[in-house]
Amino acid sequence: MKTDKQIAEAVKSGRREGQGLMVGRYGQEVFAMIARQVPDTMDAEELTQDTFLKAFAAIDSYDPQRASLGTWLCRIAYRLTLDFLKRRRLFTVSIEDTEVWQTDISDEQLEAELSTGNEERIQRLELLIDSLPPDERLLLTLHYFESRTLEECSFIMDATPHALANRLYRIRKKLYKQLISNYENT
Amino acid sequence: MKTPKDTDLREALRRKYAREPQLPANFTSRMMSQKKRRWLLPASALAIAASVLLLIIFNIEKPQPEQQTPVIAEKGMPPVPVISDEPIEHAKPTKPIKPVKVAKAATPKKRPIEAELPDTLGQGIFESEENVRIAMQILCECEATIRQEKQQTRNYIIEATFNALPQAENALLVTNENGDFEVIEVSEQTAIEI
Repeated sequence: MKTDKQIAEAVKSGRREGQGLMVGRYGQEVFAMIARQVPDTMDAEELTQDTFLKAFAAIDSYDPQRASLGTWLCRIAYRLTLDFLKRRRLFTVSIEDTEVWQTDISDEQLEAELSTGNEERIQRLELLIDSLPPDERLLLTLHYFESRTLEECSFIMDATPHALANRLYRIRKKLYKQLISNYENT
Repeated sequence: MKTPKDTDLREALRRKYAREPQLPANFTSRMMSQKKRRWLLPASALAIAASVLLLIIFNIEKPQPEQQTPVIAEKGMPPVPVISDEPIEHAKPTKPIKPVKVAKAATPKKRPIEAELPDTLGQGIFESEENVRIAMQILCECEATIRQEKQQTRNYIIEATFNALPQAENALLVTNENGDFEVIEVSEQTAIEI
């Protein structure tokens, strides 16, 4: 089995074999990441294709020391996906709810509130995730669903790990606030 | 940096994305074939753009009929041959003028002929007429001389023939009114007197 470096070298030398190997190994991962944000499958396929074409063209800029080939491809895919959503006006920038910040809750408390095992809360959270802007939903997906570290997420999303930790905290807080307000309404 | 457990959130995400979208099986081969076409499209577009650009450039560079300036006017009229008294071997050869294509299509502006035609042109024409007249005169003289010589030769031949033939003693060779020779017979006395 070829390593990331070997695949990258094969792509650099312009061999179709290397390109095919890269698509075969990381195509599904990249496509899945894009398809979670882009509702139309055809659009997701096209964006996956664009991601690889861009990767082939910019293979010289790939540094195996900084990230794995899969993470590097996800970084390209993330940018393309956000651009696509902006063009299609599907992207809504999250406006921080001042009420969220006013909610005085510690990180430990928040963790406890989001780890109850309550089926109803889980189902509500499932719905609330859909209402999040794509960049926030993507951060949750990368960190919680794909179990990527904040360092990896920071490479993909081009932000510092500290900034991402803060953003993650705000998202969790917002979800908690909406959970509480839903309960209050019902 | 501690990662929160948030088990509810993780479970919600797991359920939401439980059915992972699957990439079509033929994606790799399809992408590779489309990749070729993607490179072909900009290449063909580039070729068309280059062709259009070339057309535009050539259209601009090629002067339009109304924009054409008669090149012959810039270079001046070609020298008109002048009949000169100088012998031909002493005459300076005139520089051959290169044929210019645009000059045919161009409609040169009207120019005052007197200003550009050489002054010697009229003189040359008159001189040549005089030469022709002289030549014609010489030719006529030559023709008359030839005719006269011809007549004399004829007379000599007739006289020689008359003398050579046995004639009567009183026969004479005379010319009549038309200038033709005639043999007449006269009396012996008259013949002796002549």
